[in-house]
Amino acid sequence: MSQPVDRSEGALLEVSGLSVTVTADGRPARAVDGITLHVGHGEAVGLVGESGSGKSLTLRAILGLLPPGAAVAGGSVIFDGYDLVGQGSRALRRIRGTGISMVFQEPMTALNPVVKVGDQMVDAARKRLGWGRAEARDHALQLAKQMGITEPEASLSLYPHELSGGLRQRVMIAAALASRPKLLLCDEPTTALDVTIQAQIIELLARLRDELAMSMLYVTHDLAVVAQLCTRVEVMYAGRIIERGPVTETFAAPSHPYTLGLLRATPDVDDVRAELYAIPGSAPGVRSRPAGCPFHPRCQFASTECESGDFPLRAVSRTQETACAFPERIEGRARVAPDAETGVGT
Amino acid sequence: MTTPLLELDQASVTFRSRRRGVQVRAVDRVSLSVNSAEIVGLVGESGSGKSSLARLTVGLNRLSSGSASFNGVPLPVGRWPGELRQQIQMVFQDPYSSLNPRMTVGQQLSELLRIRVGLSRAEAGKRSAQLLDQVHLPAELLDARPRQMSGGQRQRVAIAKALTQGPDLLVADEPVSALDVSVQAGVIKLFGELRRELGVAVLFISHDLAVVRHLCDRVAVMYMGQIVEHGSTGEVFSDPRHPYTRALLAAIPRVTTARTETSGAVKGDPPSLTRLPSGCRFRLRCPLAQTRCAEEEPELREPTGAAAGHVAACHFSDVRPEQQP
Amino acid sequence: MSSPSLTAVAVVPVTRVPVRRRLPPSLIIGLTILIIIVAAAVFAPLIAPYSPTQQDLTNILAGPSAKHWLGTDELGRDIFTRLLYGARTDLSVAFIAVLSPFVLGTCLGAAAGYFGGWLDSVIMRIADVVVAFPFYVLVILLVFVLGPGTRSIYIAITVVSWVSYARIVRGGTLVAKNEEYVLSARVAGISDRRIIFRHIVPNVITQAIVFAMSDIVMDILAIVTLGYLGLGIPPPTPDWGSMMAEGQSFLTTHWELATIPGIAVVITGLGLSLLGDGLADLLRAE
Repeated sequence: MSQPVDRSEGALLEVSGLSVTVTADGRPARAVDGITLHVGHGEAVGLVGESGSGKSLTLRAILGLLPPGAAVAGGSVIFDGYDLVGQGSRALRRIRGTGISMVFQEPMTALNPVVKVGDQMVDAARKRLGWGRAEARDHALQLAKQMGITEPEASLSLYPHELSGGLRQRVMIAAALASRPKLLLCDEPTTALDVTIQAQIIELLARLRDELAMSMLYVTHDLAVVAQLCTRVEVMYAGRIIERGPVTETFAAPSHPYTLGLLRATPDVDDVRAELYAIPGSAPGVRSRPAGCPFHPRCQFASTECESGDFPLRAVSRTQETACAFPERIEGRARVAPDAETGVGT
Repeated sequence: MTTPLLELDQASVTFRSRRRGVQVRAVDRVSLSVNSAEIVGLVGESGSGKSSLARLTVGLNRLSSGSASFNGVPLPVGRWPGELRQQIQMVFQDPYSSLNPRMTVGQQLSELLRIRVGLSRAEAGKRSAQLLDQVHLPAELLDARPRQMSGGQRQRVAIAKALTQGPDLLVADEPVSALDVSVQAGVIKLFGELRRELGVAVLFISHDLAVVRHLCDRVAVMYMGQIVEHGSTGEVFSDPRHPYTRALLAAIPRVTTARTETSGAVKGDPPSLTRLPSGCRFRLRCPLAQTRCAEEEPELREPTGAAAGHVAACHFSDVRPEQQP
Repeated sequence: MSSPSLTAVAVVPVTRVPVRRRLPPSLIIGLTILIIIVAAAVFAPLIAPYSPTQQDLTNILAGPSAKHWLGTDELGRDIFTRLLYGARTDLSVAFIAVLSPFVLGTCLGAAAGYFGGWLDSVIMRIADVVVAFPFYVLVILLVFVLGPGTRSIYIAITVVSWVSYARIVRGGTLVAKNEEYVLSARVAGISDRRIIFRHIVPNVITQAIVFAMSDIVMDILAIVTLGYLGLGIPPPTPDWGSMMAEGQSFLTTHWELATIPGIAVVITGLGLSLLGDGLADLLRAE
């Protein structure tokens, strides 16, 4: 019952015990604390958490793109057989080109401001796929159209600063996809976009996931987006994964009070009767993580046993794991009404 | 029927675009009212004009045509008199820039209380603590600076600041959009509480339909500067009569079902405000568009079978989705 | 089961003022140098063994000795004493000379940035005209016209230097006036004047302060230059510029007369620059 459930043999991406320290005010602190997760071929995994959970740093650590002051403090990241941790920058660039692409939250920092966006996409495609210029250009235009960019020719001949925020973001996603990556790392790519445009992009990503068997590790705070795109979800809090499992089961019947709290705090556009729940307090900073279970000061089901000791992930069913020692306390407190289509939750 | 607190009638706000000197009507002939102790939601995406409208109601933007009045009195063109400022206040979106980074919370509240409400220093100190209590923050935060506080706390302070002068109307421009979802819930509930306990009316601007549904009595949907649908929240959400409203509802991802087929959702980008399509502005993205839509701009009217007060601006608003071929 | 009552949000303990970050070394060194020099200037009457104007024509151009640590000049005055008193003179004049363009520039820049329109155009065009002239040309011209003396120096430097402050503050104001905390103050009904001085200026002034540090150096050099040209502080008040001018004739024989005050200027300038750098680092980190 205490064995981990992940059957990760043959996974495209395997992260084991990854830790990242950041230096704030001259002293190091562990922002990411021993994360283990995997992403299979053609699988979309959601990494959910709020600000301060360490989810963005995890993603950046995978690609070696940590900001100054942050460093990997342990663990390994194996992509398609290569260990990415501790690689030199040249090796990492090659690996980044041959199969992992990342879509950032802030498009302005990811796009080269002095190169037209069309050219950036074409370069990405040519470098990775070895295509000719004309072929790559067609591919870029195609992708732009799929992104819902209404005038692809015109838009692609502009510089990043000439595009609106939403358009920039979509160009960035298109550029990331231009090299047909095996694994797409996404850091809240649709957060700043209008909901109608977000819907188009989610649809596109889902299609690419299916048609190209593209794997995704999708970091977001938005549970609903994860529900749309991903098959499995990992919930992060205070630098650790505190729950994981298949998306539908986990959201229908969570086994960690934090996940339950998140679900209850999200207003549902279809169900106005449900009372909105606000998790008291706020997430601890890197330096002020409590002893024992990291969530216990804010947990309405906590008891004295939660204040000390270790709380590793353990299986609660064939497919789900939780770091809560007392998941039975939230049993039956499904936030979500039974779903007529899938029958989950009945 | 008592006079509405805030009343906009065919109000427009025009900006001159810096390039080419073209005029842009960010808010185009909008009619909207907010009654006392009512929470009205204003929903739209980028380019809808909702922020420009919000700023109009607090005097940060100028009315270019139509009328805007508060308690029956038109909003002044130049500097607003102090009494009016006391009645309409605003809560901004970004908790990281809506507080003065160099002043403590106490200083910021106290400044308003002394200068705008005329309290003495001692009285202002006491009232500051009361205001913090009203937004459920501990009195110790009076000595804190914004950078020492979380986003949710800052937003509550911003609300406390807006409450210092005892306004009748709070205009909240995306007040929870920059907050984490677990923190957001607390602030949303706070608005509800303020309405219940203080009788404050709220004009709640948001792009998040779920939040609006949860909090607001009535909702107006904006697209490209115009209101395209308006009515009580329950009505508009359960029986949307404008294709854009339906598209918005369809586009929202749900936690329960993984529906990625975008039936009813729209394609493409909104047009530029400088090059609007003829007739209905939404027709280029609308699944129902016909020739009539290019020729005739639809008017806001009550569709057949809709509840009283529920209006939509579409030639085909009488026809419900199930009845369409 | 019901969710717990949420009338009291659990409190995040307010962090006390964060532990002092390590001060940048440039700040510490600069501050040390400056403290030494300022102390020397302030306590000059106590430290100096002689009066700066006391001549001893029997002992001119003497080298360093136990009685005169740095020797005497061509009129037998103790160089060490004159150095200390010179510091007094130059530092105080430079400091005051920086203050008035700082204040004037800040006010004009803030007004130009906040109100925009014709006020902005007028102020900026005047600034452009002033800046079109090389600094020294204009300063020397003004002092010449107004007649030498400390008052002329203050006026000349003010007329010429306010522009940099105005531009810095105007830039910061243009950005700050669209920040939400300023908009929030406007909506609250706070007067423009209070918004500018209580809200905007404190948030944009740091760059101007850092600039002021280097400006003091500039002003010391300007005063020294004016003194050298005979347009500065009238004798017999000691100042490093006139000391250098007078010592110039003795460069080949008694180089220390001109060089020692020169070194003093360099060290002071270095201290101020380091202080400015250190302040910039410190304030940027905030």
